[in-house]
Amino acid sequence: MRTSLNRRLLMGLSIAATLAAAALPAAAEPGVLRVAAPWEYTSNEPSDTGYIMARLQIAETLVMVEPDGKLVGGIAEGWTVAEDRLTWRFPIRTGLTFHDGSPVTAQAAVASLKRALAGESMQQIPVDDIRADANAVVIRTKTPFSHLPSVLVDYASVILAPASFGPDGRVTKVIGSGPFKIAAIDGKTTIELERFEGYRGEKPTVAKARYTAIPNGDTRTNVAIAGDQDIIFTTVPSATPRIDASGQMKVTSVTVPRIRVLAFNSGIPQFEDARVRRAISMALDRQGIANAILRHPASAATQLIPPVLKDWHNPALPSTAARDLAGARKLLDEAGWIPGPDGIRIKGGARLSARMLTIANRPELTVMGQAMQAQLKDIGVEIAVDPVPSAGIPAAIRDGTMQMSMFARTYVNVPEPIATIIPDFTRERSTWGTLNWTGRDRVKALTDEYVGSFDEARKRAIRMEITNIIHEEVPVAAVAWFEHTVAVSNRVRGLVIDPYETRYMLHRMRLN
Amino acid sequence: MTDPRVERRRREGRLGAKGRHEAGMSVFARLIAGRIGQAVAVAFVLATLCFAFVQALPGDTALRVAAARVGEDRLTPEITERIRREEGLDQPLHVQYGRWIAQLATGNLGASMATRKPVASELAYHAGHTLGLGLLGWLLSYVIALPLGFAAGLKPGAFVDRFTQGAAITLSSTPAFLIGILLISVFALSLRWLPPAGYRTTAHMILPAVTLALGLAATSVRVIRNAVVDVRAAFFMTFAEIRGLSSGGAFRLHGVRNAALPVVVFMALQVGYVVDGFVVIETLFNYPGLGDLLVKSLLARDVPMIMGAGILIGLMYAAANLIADIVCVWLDPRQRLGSRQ
Repeated sequence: MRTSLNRRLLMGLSIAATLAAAALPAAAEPGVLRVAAPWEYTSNEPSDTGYIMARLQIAETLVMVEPDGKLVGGIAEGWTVAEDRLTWRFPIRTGLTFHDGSPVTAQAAVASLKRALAGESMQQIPVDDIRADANAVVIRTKTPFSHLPSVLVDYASVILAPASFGPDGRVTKVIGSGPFKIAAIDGKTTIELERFEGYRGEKPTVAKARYTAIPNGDTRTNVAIAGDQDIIFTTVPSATPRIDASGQMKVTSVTVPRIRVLAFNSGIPQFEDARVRRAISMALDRQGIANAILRHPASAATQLIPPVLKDWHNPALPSTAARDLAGARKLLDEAGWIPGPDGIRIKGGARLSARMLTIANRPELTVMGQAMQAQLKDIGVEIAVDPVPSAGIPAAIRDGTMQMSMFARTYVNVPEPIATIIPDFTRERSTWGTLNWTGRDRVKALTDEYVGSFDEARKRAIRMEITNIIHEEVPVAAVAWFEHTVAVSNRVRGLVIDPYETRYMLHRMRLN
Repeated sequence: MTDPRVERRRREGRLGAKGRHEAGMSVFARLIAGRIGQAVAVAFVLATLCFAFVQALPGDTALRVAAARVGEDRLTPEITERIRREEGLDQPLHVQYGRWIAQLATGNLGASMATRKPVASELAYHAGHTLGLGLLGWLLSYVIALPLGFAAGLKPGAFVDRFTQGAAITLSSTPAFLIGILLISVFALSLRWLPPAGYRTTAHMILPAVTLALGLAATSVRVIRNAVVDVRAAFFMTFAEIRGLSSGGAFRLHGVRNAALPVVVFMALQVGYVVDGFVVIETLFNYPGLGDLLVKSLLARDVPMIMGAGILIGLMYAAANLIADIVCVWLDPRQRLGSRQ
């Protein structure tokens, strides 16, 4: 009996020792840059997940944007436009190869571009013809389209090797030409990367990198506090003090052109008068929201477009940062909305109340909505906050039931915000933004002229005019700009944050 | 079919070892055949219900699929309409359902509308992870619950019994995410012994497995305890002791097997819970399991994936129950031989 017990004891101890050894925390692997972000790699299709391919610098586009907003050649060494203002020529850099060793040719680029243009992500381009000419991609548009190079930064247009496509034309394997190549993919969560030794541009310092998708914000926070990654993109703003205090990682941030806006249905009696929309905008305590909820005072929006977009930020506009309750009440009085017995304003028997949709998976929006609910009550406006799934707001805009909504909208799907201004401010029913706004025709006339114009002075004047109209008419009220927060371990040197979120700039980072 | 001679001898109670073996095998064969038929029917009904419930949800399926596919910022009415056409969502419901059934008849679960990948491979990947973590947590729960449950059952009212009762009530009433957060706070963020999330190494598996195990053990420890108490109070135990066996010896010889029957049934039910996935734990620990896949598919209204997951979960649940039944038949000769007259 004693022998049996001793044997069991020894077996138990050996199992426990094995488990204990395995349970040691995963130490940082030397030479591997560990990167985490919320986005899962769900498919190989560039129109779906091209942003991951581009951010991890696996695949590149013809044109790229530097973090300072300057457009530069990517796979193309540059571009020229003919005198007809319709024909564009993008010569391919010489000596480029894909990760499988095949050369990057104009034909390969045209194949990828035609595929991207067939989808809707680049549908704004009025393409007449696209072809390879010698080793250049030639794109001819039906009408002048002055910001074509900006649109070609779109991740859906990443250039892939011919061997990437299966017989049915679908992408079966991502073979790009960027500084990193895919070594392995595990589900939607993990992508192992290796430095591409054949890259002709600025070569990465790190030999290996691992991308991990962590969709849940609280989990990203835990991982940051534990120091279990080297770089974590898009940390939760309210967790910054806890992450910094852990001593494992430090959070840094830049303002990006993603804006938390309050959008109105300008066709309903409550909001058809621009004075009501302006009054609501004036009654918002943006600074309080930025300080208390977003924990970043500089996030309070003074106008729609933040200063990081130098061309579109309009310094002449009066700031909306300060709260002006007296001015707001005066505007509502002028518009005929008079305080009722319970303090909520009424006009012709109708109450000045609305249901505000927010997006449930962006937790700060619901809290901001509740703060705004209290702030607007001060001027007699009644708001019910209703968090919905992300697609709920476009659905409500489409079926016309949206009264007001609060969401975060990027103005740099491509580096030229006009590509977002057009769908959001020139249609009766946008996807994300205005609904039944009467000012849309004026903006459309301006955007049409802007798209066809190659005169930079005139384009600047149009930009200022568009931003002025939006500021005056308030079809959407900008509440807070967005901070791109990144937690970085002290192992990493050379961090560069791209406000356009097109690349993670991993090639410039070094490991201690 | 049972051999008539075996059947006659079974009725007469004259089966030898070989006869008992033959009778047992026929019981197993009938059990397995019947359960496979039931499982297929249940899985099919479950998938059909999934289809019906997804269609009954408010909102536009094509819009949800488009948002899942290209992201919120890139949503346009044109993309939504293209997906509606491509995925046949503009067709009447009976046509959509019929197409899926026809596809299933060829053994094809189709492709995910959100990720465009084959449903079968997506399910295999996530189910593999769920089974891995689930079985680890499940086994760990019995490593905790069996000794404690037995100890509590052997001495009802003693310290171990009262302690396990208190612990079981506390753990049962604590949501899994709270247990997980507590473990993460202590072992990952304060002591830094274990990583807080992930699945790549054994170290990554420990905290989610313990979170799962504590939740499962909270209930099973009481089930084991009660089974032991019930068996110890049974007349056959008293009879065994009258025959001269010690209390421990009687329990070892006659009690363990009898006490195991309700425990095995309960274990199978818990496997059912495990194969469903454990969404909160998977989300908290960033673990790519079936529950996580199912929730994301529901949010994206990814109908083929939801129906495929319905079939898989139904079949896995049925398999767990079948295994439990087989184990019960093996443990309990009465079930193999029927009640003797």
